[in-house]
Amino acid sequence: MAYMKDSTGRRLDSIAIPAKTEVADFSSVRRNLRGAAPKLEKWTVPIFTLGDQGSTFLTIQWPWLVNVVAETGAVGKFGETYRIYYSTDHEGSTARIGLLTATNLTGGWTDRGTIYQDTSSGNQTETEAVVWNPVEQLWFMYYHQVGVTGTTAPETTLLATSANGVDGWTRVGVIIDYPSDDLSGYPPNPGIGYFRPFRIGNRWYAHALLAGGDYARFLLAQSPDGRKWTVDPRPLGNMSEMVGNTVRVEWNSGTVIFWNGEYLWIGLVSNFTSGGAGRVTKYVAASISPDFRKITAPPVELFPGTLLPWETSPADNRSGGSLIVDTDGRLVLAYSGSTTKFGLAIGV
Amino acid sequence: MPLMRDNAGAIIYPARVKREWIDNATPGTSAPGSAFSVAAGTYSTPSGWSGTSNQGRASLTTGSVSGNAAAIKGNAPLNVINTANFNALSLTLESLNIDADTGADFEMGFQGIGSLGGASLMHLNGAATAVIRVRNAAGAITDFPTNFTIFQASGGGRSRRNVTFLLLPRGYMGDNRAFVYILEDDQTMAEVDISSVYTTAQNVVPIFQTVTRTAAARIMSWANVKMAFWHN
Repeated sequence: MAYMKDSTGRRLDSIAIPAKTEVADFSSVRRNLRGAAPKLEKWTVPIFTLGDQGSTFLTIQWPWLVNVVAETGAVGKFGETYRIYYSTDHEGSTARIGLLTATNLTGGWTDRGTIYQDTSSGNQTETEAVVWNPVEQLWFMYYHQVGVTGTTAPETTLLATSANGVDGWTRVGVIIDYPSDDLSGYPPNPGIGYFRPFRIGNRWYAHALLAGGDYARFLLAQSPDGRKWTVDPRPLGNMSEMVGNTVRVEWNSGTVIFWNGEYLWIGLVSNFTSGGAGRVTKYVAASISPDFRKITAPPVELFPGTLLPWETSPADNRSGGSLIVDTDGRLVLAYSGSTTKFGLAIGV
Repeated sequence: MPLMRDNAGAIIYPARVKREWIDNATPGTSAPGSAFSVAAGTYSTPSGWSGTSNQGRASLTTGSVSGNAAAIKGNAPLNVINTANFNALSLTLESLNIDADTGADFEMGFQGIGSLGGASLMHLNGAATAVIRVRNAAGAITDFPTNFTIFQASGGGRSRRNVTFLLLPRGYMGDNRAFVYILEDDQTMAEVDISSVYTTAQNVVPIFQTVTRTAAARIMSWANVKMAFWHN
């Protein structure tokens, strides 16, 4: 074996190796780490308030953001690019779902009032999630309803469809109910609502509430078409190892996106309090396993620090928001800053 | 200290060798064999599969006097475990439930001989949430709060669930803190650092039990008992 030589013919083993003078540069590492936790900035003023609302909602919560053009390839019924569906929260027979439309994210949101209220059986039509089904060319709206005849759980998730996502809704009916024959296999306080669907290719997934109360359990469901849903028998829980012992993951107040090469869950974590009094929520981003069941790293708080002046204090009843990856690649989060105001946060 | 998980979310345990003992309660089988025995209560051998709501689950019934227990314990001396010998120890009860939502205590974990020492999950009658109970060699008790529940005011005791008590006597490599995790299926429901009061080098036996706190019997049922240890 010949000696390796440099271009001048010197044997390489005769060349003195200079002392290392480099300084380790971790800047790319920092960039990568930062990339794993998206940064969003809030608009300083609410984009919509209850006072702007034309009909008689008592509260406005559960904003669900959609880019109509990105989903369907065309503007919506009112010429809009963006929609925010919203609903009341725990309002019983006056509960309903409303709609805001806009051509730009940053302004000119127009309230279209009530677009849907299920009066065929039960009430409390709330916590809508509206997804374009490209196969059927229909908007699928999931919502929950209380007291639906023939159901086991007091609160169940239903589906309605519409060609334009505004009117002409067809009530499909209950898609997930509690089992009636083996109730002991599932947690107490059954309540299947707050359905948060997302689609990976042609498989549909959803996180939702399974059983309520302060020590709630959540569910993961799958569907091949958005109509027929099957529920994973293993409840989703707290993920204490990642969020700590005093905080729970609110699986029913989040969104799953694919971001910088990994799946992220972006949603609310809270103390173990359901309902209004004493509930404290924070928006976080967390890596989630590809089976969408486990938070795999401690979440990063998206908006650390003080709240904006119009947002309510931490002891609040903020509902979950919704997040999209917009056509320009930016993340956009529509969120509930109080029970009467919506805010917007845009990726930077 | 978070449990280590792979990219799919599966737990990576702190040692490479897993020793597992599984008892499937099937029709006709006796109390969990070889490693365990009935310490208190009346054991019911699972009958066939055909009865109403009968999935061949085993059960153990307390007496009907408040304070009566129904308990399964590891056999001594063969199955006494020195927790310093292992990096992780787990006890899993599948399809576990009690026949009532209130009026009982429930405990599962690894307990010292004579109830001195060890660590366990304990949900006391009337408490909103369960605790991790650590006993020292003198019997002194330290309870660490969790937000996990077996019983709830609105139910819970009767709900069948798969619960795992996982003890890491000295954490992951180089950590040397003792941690307890409560798992429900693949979900972490509680994580507690017990290193301030837990003695790693101590002998324990696995235990699960319910104690009635009313003048009525309570029945604890389960389908599978799984015990696992990890070491290198």
